[in-house]
Amino acid sequence: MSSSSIPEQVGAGAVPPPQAHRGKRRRRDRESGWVTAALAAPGFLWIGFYLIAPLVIIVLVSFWTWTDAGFDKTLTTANYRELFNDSTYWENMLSTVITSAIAVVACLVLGFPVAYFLALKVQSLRIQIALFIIALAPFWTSFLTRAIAWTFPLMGREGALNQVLIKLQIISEPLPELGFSTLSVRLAMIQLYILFMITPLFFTLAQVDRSALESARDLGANWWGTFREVILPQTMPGIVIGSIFIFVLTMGDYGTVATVGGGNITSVGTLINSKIGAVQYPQGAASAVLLVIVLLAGVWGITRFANLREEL
Amino acid sequence: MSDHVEYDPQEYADAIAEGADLGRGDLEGSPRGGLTRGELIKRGAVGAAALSGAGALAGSAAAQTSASGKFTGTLRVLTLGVEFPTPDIAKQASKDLGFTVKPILAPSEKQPQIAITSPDTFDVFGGYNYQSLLIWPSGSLQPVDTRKIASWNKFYRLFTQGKLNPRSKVCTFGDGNAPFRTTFVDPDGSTGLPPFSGGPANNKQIVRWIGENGKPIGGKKQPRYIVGPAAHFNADSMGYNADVIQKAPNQMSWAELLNTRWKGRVSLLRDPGIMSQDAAFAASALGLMKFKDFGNPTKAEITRLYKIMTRYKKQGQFRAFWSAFTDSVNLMVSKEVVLESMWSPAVALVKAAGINILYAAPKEGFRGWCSAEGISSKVTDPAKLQACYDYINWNYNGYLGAVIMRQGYYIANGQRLLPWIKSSAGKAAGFTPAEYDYWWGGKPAASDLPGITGKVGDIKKGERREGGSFSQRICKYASWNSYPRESVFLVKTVNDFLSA
Repeated sequence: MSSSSIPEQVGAGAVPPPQAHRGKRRRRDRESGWVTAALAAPGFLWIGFYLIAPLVIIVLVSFWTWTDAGFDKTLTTANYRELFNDSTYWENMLSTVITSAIAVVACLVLGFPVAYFLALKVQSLRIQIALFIIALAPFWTSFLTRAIAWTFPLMGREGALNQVLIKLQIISEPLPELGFSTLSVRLAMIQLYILFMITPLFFTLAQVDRSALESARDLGANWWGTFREVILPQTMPGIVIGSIFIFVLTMGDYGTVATVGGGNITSVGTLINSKIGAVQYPQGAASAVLLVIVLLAGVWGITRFANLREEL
Repeated sequence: MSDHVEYDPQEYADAIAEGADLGRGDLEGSPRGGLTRGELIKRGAVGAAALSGAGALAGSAAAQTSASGKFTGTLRVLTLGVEFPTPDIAKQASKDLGFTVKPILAPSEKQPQIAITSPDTFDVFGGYNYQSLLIWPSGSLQPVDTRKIASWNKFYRLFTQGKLNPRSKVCTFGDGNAPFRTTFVDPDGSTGLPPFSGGPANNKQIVRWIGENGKPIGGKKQPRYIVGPAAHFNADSMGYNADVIQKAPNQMSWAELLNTRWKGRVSLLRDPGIMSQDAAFAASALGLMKFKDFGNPTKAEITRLYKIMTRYKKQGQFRAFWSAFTDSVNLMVSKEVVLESMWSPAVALVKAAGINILYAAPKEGFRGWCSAEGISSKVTDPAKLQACYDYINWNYNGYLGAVIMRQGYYIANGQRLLPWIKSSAGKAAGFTPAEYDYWWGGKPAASDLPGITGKVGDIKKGERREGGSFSQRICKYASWNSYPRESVFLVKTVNDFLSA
């Protein structure tokens, strides 16, 4: 492969195609428009029914009035007024955002080397797949089982971590603070969700053009230069997708927080859950709507790092 | 952990609910082979029901009947794990009744949600009595006619008059939603009895019959209609590790929950209503504050209580706040805690795991609860309605009472239990009078007995049930699980407390 092909390869779709080419494509698009629409229709219906419609209903319910028998449909802004004055809610929002940010960064830092090794260092496809399946293996167990492992078995008073620390003579008495804590919740989040980072990273890294790597080396780039100039730009969509996954999943998570935190730790998710549990649907819906807004803002922020539409 | 936990329905319900809320399907197993739909509590079916808000498997609303007009369809019972502690119960009920009884399991906080929002997804509502204060005004339940409950007159008077022996001066009613205060309904205002005032302000139809003086209000007759008859009931308290807390069960006080000697090794149940009552017992036993009605605290009392509780929480008094039944077992077995608010079957499981755990009989009294078997207002077909009554009546024929006995629960018509155990049916089902003597009589176990896991030796020879006999344990209620008027404020305050 000649070196002149590198920029095109590296830039992939980032370089806009010539005008003439574009015009031709537009005509072809119009002809096949109904096919596209037909293909997209089931997806649209699915998303419309299972995502958009529930969301609209949640927004609607958030403006309803709570009563002892559930709610009535008188519109009110009281649920939001209460929330804006509820310091507990905003403190939890802040701590949830921090937890999510830590999870995103930690999953990226810990997941990237794994994906990098799998995609670029392992040469045989068979071994690649085998190792990927091994990475998946812990996820064959129930989510709840993995979450419970982060309570007393790992982080408890007589849990594995305390015993190891005592054996290593780092501590003499078990540290009760390890279990049912913010620390254990945040650690558990990383372990429970990291695969959602490794997977998109693995797939984007696997698509990195090997010849571009060779060319970079040929042109005298060191490892860091190759990484920064060739690998990282091409992996950006994977990083962004993985980050969105982790961010969205951890922001809305209440099961991990409730289980691993043993009820000591709260999040926006556990607050919403407790309101729904007490049949306070309007209040719960309003809390959920504000969470969705913060989520969307976060996702929008993450997508600033790459133009997914063009790069994929 | 024992095999029992593997199929504990409450655990499944909780686990599935958590899984559902996480949007995960991995808790939903496949149905066990060889069993027809609805024949047993099937993990898959229960999972699917829970995931779809119990609606998807609801089936057709029209009742199926045979030529003779007898119901032959599937009766859907919305229930807590309490009601169906083993898959055998639904199987036995289906066999005895001639139609399929299908339990829809939901954790306690999901039950009112389902009842209020989708009364067409169940026929019988097997919930807690206090939940009806929340559900009744929504119109999801219909009045149950006591004349169709065959054993109604054989029920303990605890349920209608507040005490086993209404004339007893020693025994207490207990505060809050005690069943005698919250059982009767008056949909058309014909009884002239006053509505129960210790709950939500919108209650107009749940009425009092016996007043606080133990006498019928206005000398009136017992009302005919009820929210639903109680079946299971008990007196709850704290489980404690007797190796660490070296006290006899009747030396214990709720104040121990706030004893700083057990700092970092105490757990409470996360349910806002129940946690508040347990905390209130503790705070009042310590003399930190007083309550007018443990079951219906005022805003000022709630604020004050959680100010106190937050102080203890910040000092690290509490290890965790459990929600699923099995959490409480795990916390005690792993020795993370030495004292926690607990349910009787959890104590039995911990005991079966070999931990020296005891169930306190606090001097301030127990926290009571009872089930209430209601009927959905959507059941209109006469054959199906009859099936609902048949099922409810089936609860009192002996079998259920014997099964839940091993969980430490009592049945509302307990006088019938011993004769049934001695009958051929009781013998065939494997129950013995010795077990009855242990659980109900408070006598030392005559030999090793089968307990909650069904294994002989769960209860060792010579062991005694804490708190004594049925009439001793059931005599002293401090309060009953309740739905307080200030529930919104309470939930908010509890959230603030848990976040503090």
